Amino acid sequence: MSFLTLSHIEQGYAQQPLFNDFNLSIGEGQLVSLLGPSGCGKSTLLRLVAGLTPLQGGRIHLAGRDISHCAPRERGIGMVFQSYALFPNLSVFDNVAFALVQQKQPKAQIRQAVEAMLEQVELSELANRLPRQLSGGQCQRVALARALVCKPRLLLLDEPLSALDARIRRHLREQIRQLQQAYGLTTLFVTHDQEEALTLSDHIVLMECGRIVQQGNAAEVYSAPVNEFAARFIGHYNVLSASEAQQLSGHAQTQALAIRPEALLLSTQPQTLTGHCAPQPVQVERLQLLGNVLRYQVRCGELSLTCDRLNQHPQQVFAVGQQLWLSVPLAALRPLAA
Amino acid sequence: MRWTEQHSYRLIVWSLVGLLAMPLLATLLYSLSSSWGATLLPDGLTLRWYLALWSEPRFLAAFARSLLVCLAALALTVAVMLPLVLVAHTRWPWLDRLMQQLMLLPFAVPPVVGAVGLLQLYAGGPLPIVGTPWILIACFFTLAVPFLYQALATSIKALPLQDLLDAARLLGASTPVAFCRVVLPSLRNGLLAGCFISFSFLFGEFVFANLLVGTRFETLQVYLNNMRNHSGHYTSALVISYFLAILLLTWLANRLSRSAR
Repeated sequence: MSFLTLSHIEQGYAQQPLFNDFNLSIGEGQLVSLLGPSGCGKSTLLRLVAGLTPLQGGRIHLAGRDISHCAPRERGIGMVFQSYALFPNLSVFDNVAFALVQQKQPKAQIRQAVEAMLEQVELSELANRLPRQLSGGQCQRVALARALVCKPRLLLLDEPLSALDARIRRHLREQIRQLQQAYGLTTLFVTHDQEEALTLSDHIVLMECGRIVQQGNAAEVYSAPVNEFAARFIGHYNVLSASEAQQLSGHAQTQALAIRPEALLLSTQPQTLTGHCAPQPVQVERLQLLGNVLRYQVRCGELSLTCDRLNQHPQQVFAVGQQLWLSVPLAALRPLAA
Repeated sequence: MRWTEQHSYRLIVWSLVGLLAMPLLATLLYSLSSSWGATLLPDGLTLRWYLALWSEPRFLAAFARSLLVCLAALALTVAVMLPLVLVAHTRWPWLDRLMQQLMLLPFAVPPVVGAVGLLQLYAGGPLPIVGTPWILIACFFTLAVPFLYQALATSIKALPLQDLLDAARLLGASTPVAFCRVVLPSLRNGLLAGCFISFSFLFGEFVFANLLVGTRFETLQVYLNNMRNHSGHYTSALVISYFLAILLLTWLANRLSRSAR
């Protein structure tokens, strides 16, 4: 049963349509990521759902109700902006209380609700601070509390973590997931970061230029990219033309293929690579240390490939310029749609 | 090393302050002296000039007129500029570009030229307001616009305005409520800064006031000019009083706005 349905969305300018018969439906309680490069329409989609941009064509249903042309405040939607958009003149408490004050709820009730909410996001001590006295991560949590305090049916997150440093981003990511699951809150999460989408979501919607390229759960989207765009955007897939794939694997290929860098096998001795395609001689061009992973750029004739290996023993790091053998497990080759 | 460095900075700052304060201090001393002729220091100190000044009805009237015209012009400017700045930064961005151009006009046209033009336009015709406070208020309005617009535009540009309005709308506030509860309070500092600077500028305005209304609606600066053949002690007392009045008003407004937080 779908909870949020977008049907036949038409949006954009006459010369430059962004969405053309766009359809998407989302199940209740799910965290869905809209993933794509900037300009693919993911933020516009969020604004359409929130009612901040007037809808030009199509319908939006939320929990069985047609909200296509409702005012934003009648939609029961909470949203966290990329800039947080905290009200600079109001304290943390008043920011969170804003929606409840607008609803003219009794003072005591507001106090109770806001305090409980601040407790949830671990900000109780900072209730009287102004937004400019907070760190980025704290601002983010205030924005989240402000969006959640009036118990929305749908939560929209517009790249909420992109302005934070890596450590805080990971922590907040977990906190968002925890809150989302605790409330069973249907959430639409916009991001351009594939790692964020993969770790956080129940469902990933990969978009390009106003179209859905692929959707599915994290494992599906990661392991089976449908076309070259998906393969390049998610993971650091090596994309090979049919002839390149044939040269590499030694088998006849008729279409373009993608292979994940961690699926390629590298060795100093060709005989350790038996059981796969015939090993090819390669030379290490570049080496990048990503911490737990070593990323090699190797040259095989005309081809340059990315290979990832776990950084298990410091002695087993291949040097730049070293001659190696590369083998391609046939099962790991993903055919791509043209 | 650090010690001497700090002291040389202080020396520079204080000598600058001294240099700038010198004329004012000299005026103050002159206004307080009974007579100051061929000697290095005044003969004696007295408050006589201040008492004479503050019991002079013509001075008090001029002071009140200046205050009235400036405050009226300022109120008009704020009433027009606030909505204009908001609209220019939400709806019609072209308006902001237009204002940036228009703002230069009061500075591009020399005051004397502007005053003569205004005299020609408003001496007769459908709107004969030369010699009345109205023309001064309207003229001061144009002088205050650049200061106020610039101050407001700078503070509004520092806000994520669209996001703030969107957030407020989602949280149940209408756009007017969002403006009143969120945007206006965030512009307060810019607004105050703009008001202070325009007020002190307008309070000291002489050329327009003298040419457009002159003695028919004598403002403080025009009065000062008319008193130039009077005793120098008396006019010094006037200058100091005028300076203190601005200082007091600024301090008061600052104080009020702070306690309103």
